[in-house]
Amino acid sequence: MKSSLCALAVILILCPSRTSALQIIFPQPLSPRIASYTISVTLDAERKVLQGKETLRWRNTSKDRIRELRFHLYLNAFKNSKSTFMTESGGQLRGDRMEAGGWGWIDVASMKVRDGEELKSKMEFIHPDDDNTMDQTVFRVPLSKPVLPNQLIVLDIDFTAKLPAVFARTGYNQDFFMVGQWFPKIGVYEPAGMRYATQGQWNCHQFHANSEFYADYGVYDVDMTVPANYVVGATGILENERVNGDSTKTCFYHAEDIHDFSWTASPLYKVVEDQWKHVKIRLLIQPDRLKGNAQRYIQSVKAALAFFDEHVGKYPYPNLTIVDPQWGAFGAGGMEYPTLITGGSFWAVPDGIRLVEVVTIHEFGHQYFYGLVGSNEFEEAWLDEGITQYYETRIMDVTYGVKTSAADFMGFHVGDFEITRSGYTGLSNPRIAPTYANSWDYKAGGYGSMTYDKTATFLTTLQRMIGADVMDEVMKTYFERWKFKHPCSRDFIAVVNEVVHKRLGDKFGKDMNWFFDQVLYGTDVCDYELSSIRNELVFGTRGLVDSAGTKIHPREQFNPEEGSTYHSRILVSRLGDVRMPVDVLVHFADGKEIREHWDGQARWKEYNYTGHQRVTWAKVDPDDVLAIDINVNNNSKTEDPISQPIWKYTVKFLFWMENVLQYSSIF
Amino acid sequence: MTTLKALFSGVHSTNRSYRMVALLYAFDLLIAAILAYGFRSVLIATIGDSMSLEHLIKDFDYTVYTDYMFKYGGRVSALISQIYWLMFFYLLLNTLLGGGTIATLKDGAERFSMRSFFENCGAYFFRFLRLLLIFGVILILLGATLSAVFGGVYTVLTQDSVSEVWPFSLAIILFLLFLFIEMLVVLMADYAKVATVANDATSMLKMSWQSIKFVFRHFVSTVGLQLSILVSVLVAVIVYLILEDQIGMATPLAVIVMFLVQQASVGFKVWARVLTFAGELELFKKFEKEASLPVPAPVVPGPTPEPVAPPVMPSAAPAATESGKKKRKTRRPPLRRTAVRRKRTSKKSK
Repeated sequence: MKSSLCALAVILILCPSRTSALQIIFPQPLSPRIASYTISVTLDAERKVLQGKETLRWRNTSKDRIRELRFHLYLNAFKNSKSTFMTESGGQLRGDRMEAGGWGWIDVASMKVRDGEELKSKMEFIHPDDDNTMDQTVFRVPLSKPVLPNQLIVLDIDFTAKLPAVFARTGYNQDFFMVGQWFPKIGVYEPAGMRYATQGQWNCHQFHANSEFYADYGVYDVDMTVPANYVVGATGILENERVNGDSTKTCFYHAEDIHDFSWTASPLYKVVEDQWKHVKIRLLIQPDRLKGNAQRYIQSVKAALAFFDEHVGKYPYPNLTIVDPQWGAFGAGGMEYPTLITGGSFWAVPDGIRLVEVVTIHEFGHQYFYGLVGSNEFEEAWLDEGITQYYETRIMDVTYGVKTSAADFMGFHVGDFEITRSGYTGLSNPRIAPTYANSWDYKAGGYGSMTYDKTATFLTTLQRMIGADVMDEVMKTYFERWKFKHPCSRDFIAVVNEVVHKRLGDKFGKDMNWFFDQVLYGTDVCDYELSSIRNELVFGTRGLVDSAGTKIHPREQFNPEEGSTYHSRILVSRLGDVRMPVDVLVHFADGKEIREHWDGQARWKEYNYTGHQRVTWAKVDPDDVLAIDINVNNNSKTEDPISQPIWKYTVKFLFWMENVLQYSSIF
Repeated sequence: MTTLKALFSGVHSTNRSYRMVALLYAFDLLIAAILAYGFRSVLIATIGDSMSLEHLIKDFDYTVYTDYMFKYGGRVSALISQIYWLMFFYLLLNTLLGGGTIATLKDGAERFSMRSFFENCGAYFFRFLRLLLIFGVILILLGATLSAVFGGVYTVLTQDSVSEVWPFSLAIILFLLFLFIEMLVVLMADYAKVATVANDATSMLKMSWQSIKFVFRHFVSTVGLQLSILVSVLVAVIVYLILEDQIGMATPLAVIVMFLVQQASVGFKVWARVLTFAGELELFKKFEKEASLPVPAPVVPGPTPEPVAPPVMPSAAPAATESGKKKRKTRRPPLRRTAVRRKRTSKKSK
């Protein structure tokens, strides 16, 4: 007993900031836990400044001797107008602009190896992407002693950060704080063979306008000291909350097997809690939106949890926090962090405008693709944004209807996948850039359309080609194989090839590389057209034929009892440069149909039929498999035009014009 | 009561001029039909033989619509750009027709005369064109000023807001206020037209100023009349939306029915516009009539009358007087009136 009390006293003395034992979430680590952080931070809510003390435990899991370390200082992207982020973005993100004077930065006050050398004086800012010497978002520190294979290095880092006025994910708006990418964060060392590395290298990019993040998994223990009246939310589990004597409180959070940590604080949040199986859901919502939107957040995230659990894999964490940014801080919305997502809603948004649901389901999807499958968002954004967008549209359409999922309001309706697809097919130049590209290489634009919309569209096309159950097996395999790791595009394609071959044999050839070569690595567009239908009455030979000693026209030999004979020709064309196998459905006047299969390789294909019935209509891709086809309206033709819609819209147009003319002449 | 009387009188006048309402509706239909015909031709040429139209029979299809616009949007845009020219032309046309409309209502003839209508259109066109310019400039300048002022007020009052409820509510209030003020300008323009026709005036600046004074002087009546007609139009719009939702256009019969409903809706709005002029004319005539009634003259005291001699009482013996004649009482001299009459300025129209 006495020894136990002594041990407890020792623990309390050595660990003054934690009054309870550390909670263990996963008895067996789920990830390699390469980079683990212990951070104590104090928020000065008046000055919008963070004072932090960080301990980083970084393990060298490669076979290389690491002679330098590289770190991200993301907040320096908001330091001045010359940073790479600000020059590329023009001071805005997703339409939100930086407030005048709302600069942010982060300074490392001190950095040293535990029981070892001082590193602060050796810090050197580097610019691996663009030689912009004004950019201070990446630095390196050389080590006197290399970190040997499997060795752990512990660094103690003191830092000060000034949060920017929020417009690009992180920052403040009055008393609202969304704190993301806020601490010195080590980059990822990729040994030879990992992703595209042929030799060991640091993968530590500058913060670009279009880029997001990339980091190793680990354990995070973070305590935040904030004003006592603030409601706090964060990645991980709240272990303890201590009220201090100086009108502040300290919240202790613990999270395991994650690669990032963010937190939020505001005196205005209302807290709503719910449960889905093993997951505790905690919603921090603005007071005015509590009545109208709280259940929308909760129900949509539950739908996402259920869908991913069934179709992809288990969500391993016991918690999920949803943050509803306040008015004026929407730049913080629509963002993902491990076990914490930020949404977006407005007071009095009608139920039929599913803004809340779209954002929530999308950001939750990132828990899987980016969170659990840790792809490199800098270099291969499609692997997280595109796959997440694909699942967003799938879940939205299943939950709220294919034609009504995004909006169903006052007679207008549209599906989420419809909007996503149109984000790609509606580009004035759909060839603007390949989907596979570094996020900062979209110099002519197209980042959003290519990584989100085109990816979701070609993944939907793939799903329709191979079937939903095969697609699910592909994604489950990819998830199980690559969770808590860093896959690349090649790894995803390899899984597709493996599963498709296993389930469908050589139906699509020996592999699906031809598919990804065109839609992922290429820029060509897909457009098949039903070019023409021709029905010609056949009377046999033209000219004159001998009949009973006289010469007659073949028409005179026509036997009405047999009926007319038609020679029908269907021409299908490939207008785009993408080649996909495609079906052609031909419909005859008597209701009979013939389904042809075309490999889609040549520029055109002609089908000929001779019979007593004419072809009334024909469709290429009758089952809408090729979602990536940029024009569905030229996929079919009919010999009997459908006039009712033409009249319908003509009459509507007439009415609209009458009203426009009336309103234009109010004088 | 004044407003209601003007409204009901206006309804009566408008209904009596149903041929004119029909003519105005026909203009609206004809011009819109030109564009609609062009639109139909573009649709047939571009998508007329596609099976995609099946998706548009019962409902709107976003995919069909967006793919169509991405491919053929240029052609539709070219058509749409002509709308701006047509809107401008229609504005001028309405300026032309306005004179005939108000004059017809004013004359109140039993039988509508096309010739008389168009003669009046021509007679007032350039005057109404000047009014259009005057009030157009006022509308634009006022609109710009209000936008700047309201924008500033909005920014100042909402900059520290942490919830969108207040900014949203304030935005609606300011927007409605903006619309109301702009509506007042349109109302003043209407009364300027009415006054021009009623008085056959030639100075549009003077009429503009008088109409501004008129509206403010009779604010409740003029605005009340305008709002009551606007409310009826709003109700008609809501009824239309309900009918559209219920009937739809999923079958050929439904398309025909909706066409009739739509045209009835347009016709009602044309009728409401004529009613607006008719009601305004009634109000204008009433208030102008009240203003033109002679003002009772102040009483000027006349000369002091001479004292009346006391009556001579008859004695016992009969007095020697003219036979058969009775003596009349002295009458007080009549009061003098110094009435001021308004000078008539109206001239009969030719």
